[in-house]
Amino acid sequence: MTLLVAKAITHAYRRGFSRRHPSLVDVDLTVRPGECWGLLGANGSGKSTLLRILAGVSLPLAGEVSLLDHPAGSRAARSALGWVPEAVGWPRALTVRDVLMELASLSSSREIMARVLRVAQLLELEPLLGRRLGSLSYGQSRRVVLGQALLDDPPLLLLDEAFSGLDSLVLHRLRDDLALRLAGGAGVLLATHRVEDLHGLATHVAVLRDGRLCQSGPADELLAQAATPAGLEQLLGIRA
Amino acid sequence: MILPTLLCAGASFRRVIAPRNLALALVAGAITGLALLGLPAPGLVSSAYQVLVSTLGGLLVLPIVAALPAGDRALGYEQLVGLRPVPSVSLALGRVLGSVVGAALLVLLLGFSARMVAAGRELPREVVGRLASEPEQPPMFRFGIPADLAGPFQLSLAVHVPLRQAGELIIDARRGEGTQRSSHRVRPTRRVVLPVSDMAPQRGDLYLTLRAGDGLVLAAEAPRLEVGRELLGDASLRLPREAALRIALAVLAAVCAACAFHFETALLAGLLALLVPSQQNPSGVLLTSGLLLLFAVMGTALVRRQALP
Repeated sequence: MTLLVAKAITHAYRRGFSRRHPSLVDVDLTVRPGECWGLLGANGSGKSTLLRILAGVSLPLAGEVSLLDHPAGSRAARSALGWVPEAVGWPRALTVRDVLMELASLSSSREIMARVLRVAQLLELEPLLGRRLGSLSYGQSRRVVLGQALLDDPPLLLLDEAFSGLDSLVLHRLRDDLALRLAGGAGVLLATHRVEDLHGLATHVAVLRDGRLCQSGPADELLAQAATPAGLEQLLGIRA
Repeated sequence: MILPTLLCAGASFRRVIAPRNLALALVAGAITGLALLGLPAPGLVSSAYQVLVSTLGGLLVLPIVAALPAGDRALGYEQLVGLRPVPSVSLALGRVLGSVVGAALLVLLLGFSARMVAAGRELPREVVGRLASEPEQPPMFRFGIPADLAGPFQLSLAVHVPLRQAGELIIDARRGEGTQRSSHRVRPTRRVVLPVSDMAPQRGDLYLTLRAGDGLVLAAEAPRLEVGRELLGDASLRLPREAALRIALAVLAAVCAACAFHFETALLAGLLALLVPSQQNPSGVLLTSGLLLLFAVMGTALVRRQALP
């Protein structure tokens, strides 16, 4: 059984009338239950674009994506997915409680408040539930973005720079929660440009370089290679 | 499909009646009420109340309801909403239902807060004179005075008096068996207010015959008799039920347009619907509403398809 299968994903951004700038070229990826894939890459390597395509929010030029054997973007695929985008423009007048309840109710009518409170407890959002989204700091806002993805306990989580802006306590709790979810058969794809985020969590690592998947495999091997600055530069393809 | 629709409606409703919007409705109502305090006659206050509540109500709620779907889309929040496994039909109908109910609540709040401010105001209680004489005779007006009201009363009369002259006005009053004549000197003015006895213990209608002397011309406007004072009260400030349908259609047009277009376009659609005279034909209203709802569902589905290809 696979949670996510991406085959030969190719994507390009339009530049001018006819020119296209390739952002992803023939990317293959498979996530199985219990696997946490760390998606490493320098800024601009195509991590966020890949996650948007996997979530079904952007269309690839070529290739296929399926989540639990359903095409990306379909209703069944959306039900199985929790997506943390890199940035969200919240409606500023709404409170944290409003937005979490709205998103929770749009997924399922069962235990709406209980689900919201569970996520709020996990991410230390309880004191912020009555606060307007426009008044939140960056880190607090990121916690709300994470919260909305965890509301429905989806079997697959696509996390784009999910750990950025989080304080140590929340980060620790979140990592524990993700580990529990992985043990329960969920799958996680965590895009980051910081190798430290993957230690102790990722079971596999894929490295994107200029839109191409240049390396992928068990996390231990690749993270060991990235243990030194020189090794990391070599892994990410950054020239000092 | 009903439950997701109701859930979407609840979410939209909560956003329409956000504390800021409720405060705006209260303030707009208070301003309307204060404006009504400056008007002199009950009839004018009543009609101004209806016009102000329907106009300000429309102008208040249209940007609020148009901003919901359009703003979400502009911010990217739409994608998080769109990723939820809720059908587009439920999303669109829920948005429309929640917005319309929320907008109705805001307009009602505006109307009631205006009423709270203005209803305590005391205004003159006037009786309009009805012409009760033949054309070739001096004008005689009949005033139906409630039996419980005692005088003296104030007669308000529109007249024409040339500058630097004065005219004479003779009033013959008759009530029941009693008669009374009084003469008044009128200076150049457009309106004259004269005391009229209630001729106690006589009761019933009061008849006043007005005879204009040299230099005085009576205006065509019917004279009014101020028979006392009364509180404006809730009964004088009736909510504009005739405008309710027009506002509801305008809100519907704004929300439905916002499901597919930008905020400005949606607001324009709502304003146009507000300005167009309301259709009294029920089948026409139903057809318009149905088409707008269909447009909202299609717009939501297409926009969602764009956000979630």
